[in-house]
Amino acid sequence: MKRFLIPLAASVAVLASVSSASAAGRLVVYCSALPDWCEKAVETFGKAHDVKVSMTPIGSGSGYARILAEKDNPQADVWYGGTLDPHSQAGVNGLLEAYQSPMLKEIAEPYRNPATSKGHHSAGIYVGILGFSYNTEVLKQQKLTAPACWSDLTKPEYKGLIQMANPESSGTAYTALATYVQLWGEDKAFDYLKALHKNIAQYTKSGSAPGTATARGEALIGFGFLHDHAKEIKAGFPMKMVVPCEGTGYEIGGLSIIKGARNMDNAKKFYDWALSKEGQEVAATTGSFQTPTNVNAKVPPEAIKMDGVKLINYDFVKYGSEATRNKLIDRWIKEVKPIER
Amino acid sequence: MIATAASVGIRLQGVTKVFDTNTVIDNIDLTIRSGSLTTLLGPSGCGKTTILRLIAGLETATSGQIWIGDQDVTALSASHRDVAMVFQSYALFPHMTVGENVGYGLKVQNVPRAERDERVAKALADVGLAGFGPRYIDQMSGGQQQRVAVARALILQPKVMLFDEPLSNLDTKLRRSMREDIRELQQKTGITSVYVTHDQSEALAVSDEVVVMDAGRIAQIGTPEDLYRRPGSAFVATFMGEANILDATVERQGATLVVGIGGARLELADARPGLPEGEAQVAVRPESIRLVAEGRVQGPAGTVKACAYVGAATEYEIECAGAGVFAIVPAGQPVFGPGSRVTLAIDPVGVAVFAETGRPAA
Amino acid sequence: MIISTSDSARTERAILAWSLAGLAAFAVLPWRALDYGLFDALPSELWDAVGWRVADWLPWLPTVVLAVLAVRPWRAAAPALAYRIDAALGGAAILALLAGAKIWGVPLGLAAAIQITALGAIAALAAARLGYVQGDGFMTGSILLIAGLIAAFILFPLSTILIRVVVDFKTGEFTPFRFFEIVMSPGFGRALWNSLVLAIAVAVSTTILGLVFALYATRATARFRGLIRIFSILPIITPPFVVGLALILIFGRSGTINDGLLALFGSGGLLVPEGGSGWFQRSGYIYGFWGIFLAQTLAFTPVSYLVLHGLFGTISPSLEEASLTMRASDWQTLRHVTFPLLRPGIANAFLLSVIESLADFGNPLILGGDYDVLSTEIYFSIVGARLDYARAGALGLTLLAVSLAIFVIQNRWIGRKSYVTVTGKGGGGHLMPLPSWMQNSCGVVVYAWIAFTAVLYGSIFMGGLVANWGADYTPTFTHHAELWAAGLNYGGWPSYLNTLKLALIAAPLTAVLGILIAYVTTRKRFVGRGLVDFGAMLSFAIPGTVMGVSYILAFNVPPIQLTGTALILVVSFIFRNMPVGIRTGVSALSQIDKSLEEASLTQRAGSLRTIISVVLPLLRPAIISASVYSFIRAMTAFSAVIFLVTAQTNVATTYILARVERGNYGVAVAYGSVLILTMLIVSMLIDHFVGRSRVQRRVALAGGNA
Repeated sequence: MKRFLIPLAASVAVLASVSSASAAGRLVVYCSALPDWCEKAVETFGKAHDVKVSMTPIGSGSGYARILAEKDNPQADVWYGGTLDPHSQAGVNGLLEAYQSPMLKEIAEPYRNPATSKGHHSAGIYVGILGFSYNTEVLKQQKLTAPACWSDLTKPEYKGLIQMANPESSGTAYTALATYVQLWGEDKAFDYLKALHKNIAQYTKSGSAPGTATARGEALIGFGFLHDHAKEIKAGFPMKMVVPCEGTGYEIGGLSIIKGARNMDNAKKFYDWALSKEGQEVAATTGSFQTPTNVNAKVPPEAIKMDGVKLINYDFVKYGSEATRNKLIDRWIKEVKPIER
Repeated sequence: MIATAASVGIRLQGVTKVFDTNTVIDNIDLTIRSGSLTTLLGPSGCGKTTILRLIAGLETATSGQIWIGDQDVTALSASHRDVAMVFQSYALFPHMTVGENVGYGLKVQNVPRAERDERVAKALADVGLAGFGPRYIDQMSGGQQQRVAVARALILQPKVMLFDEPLSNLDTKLRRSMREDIRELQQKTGITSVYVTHDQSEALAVSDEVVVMDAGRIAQIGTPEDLYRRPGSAFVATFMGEANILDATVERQGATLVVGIGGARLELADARPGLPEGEAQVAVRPESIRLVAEGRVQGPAGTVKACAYVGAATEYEIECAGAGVFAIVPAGQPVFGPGSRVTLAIDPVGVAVFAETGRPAA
Repeated sequence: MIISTSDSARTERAILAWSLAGLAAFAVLPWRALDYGLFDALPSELWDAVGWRVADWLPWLPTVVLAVLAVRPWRAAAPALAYRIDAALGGAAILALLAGAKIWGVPLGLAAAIQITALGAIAALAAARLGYVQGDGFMTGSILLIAGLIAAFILFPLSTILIRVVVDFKTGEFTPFRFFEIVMSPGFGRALWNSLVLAIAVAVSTTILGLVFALYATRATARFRGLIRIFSILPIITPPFVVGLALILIFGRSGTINDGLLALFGSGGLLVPEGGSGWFQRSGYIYGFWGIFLAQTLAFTPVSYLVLHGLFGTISPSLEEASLTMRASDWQTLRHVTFPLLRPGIANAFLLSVIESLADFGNPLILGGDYDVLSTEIYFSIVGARLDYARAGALGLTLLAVSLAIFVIQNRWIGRKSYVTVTGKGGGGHLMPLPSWMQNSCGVVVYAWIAFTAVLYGSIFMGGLVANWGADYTPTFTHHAELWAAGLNYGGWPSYLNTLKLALIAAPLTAVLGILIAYVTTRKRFVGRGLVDFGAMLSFAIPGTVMGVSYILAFNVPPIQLTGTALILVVSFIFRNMPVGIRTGVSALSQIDKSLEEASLTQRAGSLRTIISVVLPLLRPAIISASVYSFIRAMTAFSAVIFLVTAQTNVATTYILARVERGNYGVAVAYGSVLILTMLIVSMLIDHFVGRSRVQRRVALAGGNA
C-alpha cells in the first residue's frame, strides 16, 4: 500500500498547490489604454493580488464591438481605459455591471459617475485634454506665427499643414467635433469645420497619428489629446502643446465591469485598485501623461496643468449617445468631406 | 504460373452508366464465361472501356448490377473486387523499381518480404524479365514496360484480369508477339479475362469470344469467326474487316438463301431463321469479289474508278449502280485500268445477310 | 460471398472503433470549449469541462448515439437498410448537436470535435458501403470532411455577414432594406468607385509592366535575367504594406525626396536666394490614390509577370517561324501572331491584378490618406468611431460580389482559353528575338523598375539602421535592439515567434487540405461536388478583410467559439491560403496519369494506401512548394488577421502596423527587414535542399511516356 500512497499523496499535494495558486483566480481585462500602460497595470495588479490576469489591448471602439458581440457569453471581466463614450454606449445597452466602488470617495466629483446611463456603470480614471500641437522647427523654417486658438487654424497661411483624424474612424476627432458644437452651436461649428477643411493636409485614420506626424515634422499642426503629445515631447521632439484659447473639450478615461463577468470578485478588486492612488500613478511610469482623477494621486509634471485651462462643460450624456454621434458624423460626411481643397 | 483455383464468370445486369447527361452505357446485359478471354471491341467512344472500368470498380454504375462469380460487387470498391488490370498507359509507378512495382500488391497485402521477393522474381521470370527487378521504369523499353504491367497484374492471382488496350502503345511487330504472349498466359492460368481493343485483328487473334459494341449498346456477341462470317448488322460487318454494303433481294429456298445482286444469283448456306427476305442490304467482303470483262458473266456491272497495286493484290474502287464498291483482287488476275467497264463476280462465301440494318461503322 | 462478408465485417469493425473513440473522448477529454483556451487551462477547468461532468444534457446526445452505433441493434437487418440507418443516424446526430450547441449556447470543445469526426466517419463508411464514391470509405470520409470544413469555415462565416446586414445586431430586428440604405449612403458609392478605379489603373500598369518583363526575360539577349527573377520574388515575400512603408520613407512628408527638394528649394535652401522664402513646401502627395497605386503596382507586377512568363514559354516558336517565312517582319510577327496568342494570358493577368488590388488592405490603410476604398471602409466600420456591423457586412458583400464576378469571368472564360494554349506542346525552334528598338525600350523600363525596387528595399533595410529616417540619419542599432535585445518575452520576439509557430503549423495543413481538395475535385465524381467546387471558388475570391469580419462574427459565439485563440489564426491562415494548395495540387495532378492510382486500387490497395504510397510520393514537390508558399503567405498575412489577433496571439504584421500607427517607422521597417530576410532564407534553404528531386524527374519522364 505504501508504494501507492506516497506518490498519490504527492500528486494530491501538487494538485492542491496548483489550485491554491489559482485560488485567487483569473481576471480578463480588455485594455484600451496604450499597450505599455496596460501591461504595466495588469502586471502590478496581478502581483499585488495574486491573480492570473490576461489582458487584451484593444481600441476603445473595437472594445465596445467585442463586448457587444460577446454579450451572450462575456469573455472579459473588466474594461480598462479608453475614452468614455464607448463605455457609455455599453452601459446604455446593458452590457455593464453597476458597481459603486468604495474608492469613489477619492475620485474628483465629476468623474465618479460620468457615463450616460447615470447608473454607476463606469467611472473616470483620468482626464485627457483636447488640443493641438505645432512643430517648432517647421514653424521656424516656414517663418509662420504660432497658433493659440482654434480660430487661428483657419488662416490661409496654414494651408496644407494641419492634420486631424477622420471623425468616421477616430473617437478623438469626434470629440473635437462635439467640442465645437458645444462651443459654438452646430451650424457655426460646421462653418468652422468647412473653413478648417481647406487647411487640412490629411485626415488620418487614427486619432494619435496627427500627433506623431507633427512630432516628426510631417505636419506643422496636429490635433489630438495632449497627453499623447506630451509623450512625444518627452521623447525629445520639437513640439509645443496648445490648449486653445476658446476653451476645449476633454475625454474621460473609462473603467467598467462587464455584465456577467466570470470573475466578478477579481473584477471588483481590479476596479478598486484602478481607482486608487497606486493604480492611477502607474500611467505616468509608462509615459502616459493624462491627469489622474484620484485626488490623492500625483499629477505628472509633463501633464497639462489644469489651472489656466479653460474647459467646456462637456455633456457626456448627450454627445456620448449614438443618435447624436451618428447625426454629427453623417453631417460631416455630407457637408465637409466632399469639399475640394 | 499457378492457375487460380476456380475461375468465375462475370455478369452485368441492366447496367447503365450516365456521365452528366451523356448515356455511355445503355442498359446492358452481358455474361462473360468463366475462364474465357472475351474481347470488348468497338470504335472509340462506344463504351467498351467504361464497361471494363465498371467491372474493375473504377466507375460506379448509374443503375444495374455487376456480379463476379456469385458475388454482387456493384457497391464494392476496386480494391475489394479481386480484379487486376493492365492499363493502356501501363500505369507503372515511376517512383518505384520494376520489382517494387510488381510486388506492390503483395506489399499492400502485408506478404512477408522473403515470400514477396520470391514471387516477384518468379513473376518477372514468367514474363521473360528475370533480373530486371532493381531497374527503374524509365530504364525499360515500351515492350518491357508492357511485360512488367502484365506481371504486376498476374502476381495477385486475381479472379479477373482486365486489359485496357494494352498493346496500343507498341509498334506493329511487337504488338503481334505480345498478343500471342498474353493469349498464352491467359490459356495457361485460366483466369477469366476481359480485353478491350479497337483493333479488330487483335480481337480476332486473341479472343474466345468477341463483344462488338456500338454507341453504348452491344451490337453482337460471338466467336471471331461468327462475327466475320455471320455479322448481325451492317455495323458489325463493316467494323469486323472491310465490307461493301449493297442493295439486294433475298429469297428463301429450302435450306438456302438466294441473294440477288444486280443480276447475279448467289446461294448462301447460312439460312438461319430470322433473316429478312425481299429487298435487303447485304455485306460483300472485298476479297470475295473478282472482276471480269463486262458481259462475260451475270452480275452487277460497273466502271473502274481507281486501282492501286499493293503487292499481294490489286485494290479497286468501282462505281456500280451509283454506289462505290471496294474489291481486293489477288495478284495473277487480269488487271483493269481506270475507266474499264467490268462485271463483278461474287463468291457467296463472302456474302452475309443480316437481321438488322442500320448504319455501317464509320 | 466470403469476401462480401469480410468486407461488411471490416466496415462494422471500423464503425465500432469510431464509436468507441467518440465514447472515450466523452469520458476523459474536455467536451465543452475552455474559456481560456485548451493550453492555458487550469487542471480544474479541464476536469470540469469533461463530457459527463458538464451540467448539460447536450454532451449526452452524441454520446448516446455513438453508444447505439457501437451496439448496432439493427445489425441483423438487410445490409442496405442497416447502412442507411448508420448513415442517417450519424448525419442527424451531427446536425442536432450543432443546432443544440447554437440554440443553447454551448461552445464545443475537443471531445465534441472528436465525436463529430467519429459520427461523420461512421456516416461516411456506411455511405461508402451503399456505393457512394465507388464504394470508397476513405474517400467518402475525406469528401465529407472537406465539405464540412468548407461549410464551417467559408460558407457559414459568409452567411453570418449576410445575416448582420438583414438583422439588426443590437435590437434583433429584421431590416431587409438596410443593405440598400447603406448602399445609398454617401461614403459607400465613393468607396466602391475608388476601389474600382484604383483596381483598373493598377491592373493596367501591372499588366503592361508584366508584359514588358516577360518579353524581356524570355527574348532579350540580356545578362541579368537572374536579377529579374530575384526582383520578381521580392514582393511575394514582403509583408503587404512594407512596400507602402518604404514609399513613405522615400516620398513621405519627411521622406528623402521631400528632404532633398526642401534642402534645394525650400525656405533657406541651397538654391534659394538669401532671404528668399523658397517655393517648396513639404507635400503629402504620396498619401492617396498615387501612393496606393504605386505600392500596388510594385507589389502585383510580379504576379502578372509570372502569369505571362509562363504563357510565353508555351507559345510554339514554329508559329513565329511560320510567320517569318511568310515575309512578315519581326514587328509584324509580334503584332499579328505573338500578341494575339497572348491575349487570354494578358486578360488573365489583368483580372488577377484587379482581384488583388480590390482585396489589398495594408497599402490603402497606411497610404490611403483620404482615398477610401472598400477594404479600409470595412475595417473602419468595425474599429472606427461607430461600430456598424451591417455597414461592414454590406461593404464586405459588395467587395466579395465584385471579386467573385471577376474571378468567375477569369476562370470560366479566360481560364479555359488559356488552358488550351498551356497544354499545347511547343515544337522545336527558337523564340524570335525582339526588334532592337523594343529590346532597348523594354530594357530601360526593366532596369528602371529594378533600380527603383532596389532603392525601396534599400530604404527598408537602412531605415531600420538609422536613428530617425527623415530627420536624423545617424547609424544606430537602437531599433533592432528595442526589438530583439530585450529578451524573448519583450519587443518583437513574442509576435515573431508566434507568427513563425502559427505559420509553421498552418503551412503543411494548408498544403495538404488544398491538395486533397484538388485531388477530390479533379479525380472523383460524387454527389455534392458542386458544393465543394463552389466553396473552393469562394476561397479564391474572398478578400481578407471580408474573411476577417466574417470570422469574428461567426466564431464569437457557440457552437464554434474560436475568437481570441491562436486556433482561429491557424484556421484563417489555412482557409485564406487554401487556394495556393488547390492551384498547386490541380496543376501537379494534371501531370500525373490517373491510371497510376487506378492501378494501385486494382492492386487491392485502399484509397488511403494509394494516396500514401503512390499519390503523395509523386506529389511531394507540389506539397513542398505549396507548403512554402503557404508559409510565406501566413507570415505576411495581414488583412484577415488584423480582425482576429489578441495580445497573446499578436503576429508580426499587426505588431508592425501598431508601430506604424505610433509613428515608429524605424522600428517598423527594422522588423519588416528581419521578416523579409527570414523568408528569403527559408525559401532559399528549401530550394537548396529540396530542389528538383529524382522523383520529380521520373514523373516528368513518365508523363512523356504515357
